[in-house]
Amino acid sequence: MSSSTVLIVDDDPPILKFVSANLKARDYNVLTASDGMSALRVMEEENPDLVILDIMMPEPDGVEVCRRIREWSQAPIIMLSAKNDLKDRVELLNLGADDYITKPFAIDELLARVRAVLRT
Amino acid sequence: MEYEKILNGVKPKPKILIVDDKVGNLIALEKILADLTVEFVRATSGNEALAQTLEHDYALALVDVQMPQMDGFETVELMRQDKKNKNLPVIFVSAIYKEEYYLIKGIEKGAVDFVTKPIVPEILRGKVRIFLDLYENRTSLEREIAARIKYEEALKASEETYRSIIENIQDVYYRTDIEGKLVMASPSGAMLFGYDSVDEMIGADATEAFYANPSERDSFLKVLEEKGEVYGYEITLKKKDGTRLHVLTSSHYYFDAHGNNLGVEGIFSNITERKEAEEALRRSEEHFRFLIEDGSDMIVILDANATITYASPSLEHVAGFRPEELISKTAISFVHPEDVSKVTELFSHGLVIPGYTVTMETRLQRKTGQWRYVELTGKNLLDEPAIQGIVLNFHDIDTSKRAEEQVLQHNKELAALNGIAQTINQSLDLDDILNNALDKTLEILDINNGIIALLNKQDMIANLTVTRGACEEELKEISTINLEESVVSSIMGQSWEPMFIETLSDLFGSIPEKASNRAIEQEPSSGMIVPLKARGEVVGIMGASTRNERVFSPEERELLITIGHQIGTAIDNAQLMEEASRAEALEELDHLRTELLASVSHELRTPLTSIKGLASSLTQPDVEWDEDTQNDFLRIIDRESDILTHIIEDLMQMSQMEAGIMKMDMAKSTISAIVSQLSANLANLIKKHQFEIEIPRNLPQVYVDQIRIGQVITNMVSNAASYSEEGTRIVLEAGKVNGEVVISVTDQGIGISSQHIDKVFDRFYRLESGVARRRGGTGLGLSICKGIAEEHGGRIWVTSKPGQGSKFSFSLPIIEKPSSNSNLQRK
Repeated sequence: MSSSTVLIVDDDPPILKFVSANLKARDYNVLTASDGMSALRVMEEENPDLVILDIMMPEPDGVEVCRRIREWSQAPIIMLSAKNDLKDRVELLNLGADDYITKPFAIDELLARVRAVLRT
Repeated sequence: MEYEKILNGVKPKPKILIVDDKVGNLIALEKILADLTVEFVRATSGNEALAQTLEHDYALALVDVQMPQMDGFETVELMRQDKKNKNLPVIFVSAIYKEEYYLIKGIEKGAVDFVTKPIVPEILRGKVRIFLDLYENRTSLEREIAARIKYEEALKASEETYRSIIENIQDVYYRTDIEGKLVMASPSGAMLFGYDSVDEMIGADATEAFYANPSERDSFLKVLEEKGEVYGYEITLKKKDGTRLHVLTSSHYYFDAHGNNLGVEGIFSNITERKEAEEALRRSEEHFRFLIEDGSDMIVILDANATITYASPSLEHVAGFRPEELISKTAISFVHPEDVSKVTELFSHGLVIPGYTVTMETRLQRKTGQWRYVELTGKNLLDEPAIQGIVLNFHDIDTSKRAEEQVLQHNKELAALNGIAQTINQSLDLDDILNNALDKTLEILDINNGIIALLNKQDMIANLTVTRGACEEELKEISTINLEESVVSSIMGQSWEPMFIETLSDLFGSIPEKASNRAIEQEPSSGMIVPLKARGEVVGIMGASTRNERVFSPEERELLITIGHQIGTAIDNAQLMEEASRAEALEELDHLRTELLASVSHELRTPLTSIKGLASSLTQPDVEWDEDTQNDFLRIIDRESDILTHIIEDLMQMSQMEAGIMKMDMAKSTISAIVSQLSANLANLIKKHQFEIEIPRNLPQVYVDQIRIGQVITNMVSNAASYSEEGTRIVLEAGKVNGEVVISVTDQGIGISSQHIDKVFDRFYRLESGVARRRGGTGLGLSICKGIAEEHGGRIWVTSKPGQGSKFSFSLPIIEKPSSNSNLQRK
């Protein structure tokens, strides 16, 4: 269970910081990227087991990154978004995201979803 | 008699030559002109048209321009080479008249008019009628001249006949005895009196047998007794069958050798034929005079000084003057002022030449003062012993001239309406439409004063939207008319019918004194108020007034009403358009709000996510964070809370600004004073850059809210620092440019590409989301700066080169002497 590699993508440094701190504290290998392009690069180089992907980023945004990852990888993706309406959620799941979490969130909720996604 | 017969002979129908290569078009032309009494001659090609012009005489030719082989222009050019057709009026029918080239070419070829397809039947009929009338006038004049010539020839012939009778019939010799019995007569006597022989006559009592009126014999003898003899004495005798004989006699007494009176002898000649010819002449003269005096043509004879010496009674019908009222008057005093120079010219140049004939159109004044169009033919007959004057023959052409004028007027109106329509269709902007429509209307009517007011029926007011001419300034101050009290509603009533006011000055009591005084100065005359209607509803009113005793003619009033309808419709369209665009704008606003809400939500959630994430991390039961991490997390929470506060403050400021309730604390100040107050704060912001301040001391004062302007400067400097490398230069400078103070901040940073440069003042727009936010930006800074600069009456702008740096600037107006603080304070 441990030593799964998680890629966290967000353009806001504090978020990268506390998410990675928490994952590391639970023995995950953590990779970070602060924009879509570097996320795709890291994805190709490291092929992580899970991606935590923020939607609201400058181009390419999280939705686009998700779409591109799904072109070649089945790694689970958890999307982070400020939006919380149902339509977006359904859209994201259709696009190939495995789960979805709305900002702001408590860290244990994210950890629970990470565990759940990696179990399947 | 002969003369009359010729004059009243059957007139042939005037012929119109219609030329078009399409028979269908010919039939259409004939149908349009069907109710005119004319004979159409068709030609389907230029050659055929030429052949037809050789055969007949035409009143008018309607020629299609576009024909295969020989086109209309060429046809007419060839036609003109025949002397007979040199002056034949030609109307070109064309679909391409719009090309000015064709118009000019047509006129060069001698066209009198152009008609464009599709043909408007009324206009074509009107035009053709004018030329038919002209033709009619010309041919009737020609006929009259021909008739007079024939009449003169007839007179001459009868004189010759008489002369031959005198010459060929021998005079009669006679002798009566003392008792009056015929004793001798020449054989020619028997022949003249219708007897078989002289013997039959001898012995007859002269008085009884030969005198038509016996008392004439007594008078004859009386004269003879007095004078002893008579020469050329005229008596009336009778033939055997009783018919009368007019004779001239030369007679005397004759005596025997002893001096005894034996009777009368003499000769006489028959003058019956001459007498009859004279009688005929007299009667025909009478008839001629009757024609002149009771006919519709008027004759005036002038002396060499243009004084009237004769006027035919027929003048009374047309001019209203009896002939005796005109005698000794100067002819020119009856001529329309606009025609005087033309007529004078004619008299001083043409009519001084003996025998010179001239024809012209002019207007003569009736006794009632109205003007009437006449065609005048003048001939100098001063050298003619019988006349010794200038003979003017007038022909009343008023009806046809008025008809022509009506066609012209109608054309003018159509052009005017077309002009208005074009003007108001150029725009859908209501203000444009109203301004242009009113200007065009005034131009067409050649007047200066007009208004358009839009109605607001709910509040019962009319808003004076556009005003022109007199009292423009005063009316601007009024701006609204209360419909319940105003003169407008009192004269238009509730029916909103067009209203013509003949004497405007009567109304001025009801408008403000200042305006009415000015209005009266303008010498107003008549006025017209028309409703502007759209879909049956009155949406506004248009008013116009004339000056200097000019009164709107009925045609002008009609035109104004029609223009009113057009403007009404245009207003309606514009208002519908405005409503539509307002709805669109509302939708757009709604869309922006939704977007803003999404942005605000995102901006607030981001720091909140960090705060919640970090706080919830610190409370995790399963992880023991080391002290450094704990402190780090708490510091971030602290900073993110500040950012959150900052965003909320910016949002508050933004919404105050948008709602127009931002409080401004205005005071006189200088840029250097503001910057010096900021200096510590600025230095703190840009510790790691070379910061230079270049502000001249002698800059003019500005009238500003110092805190807000300080905020703008700080924001710009902070942005410069955020987007440029450490150690690079940042320059804050100010200067006077074109009457404004301009403050700029220049950096050597990353610059802004052209695709982003338009958006930098938009809310939440960031060049680089994360980095900027870490540096304390909220994405609202420049947007707020823009609002503040504009609130001060200034502008804000940026110039930039990617990779080289940006220069942000804003301007402040220099206010020399602010009248009071409250003037610039918002609410």
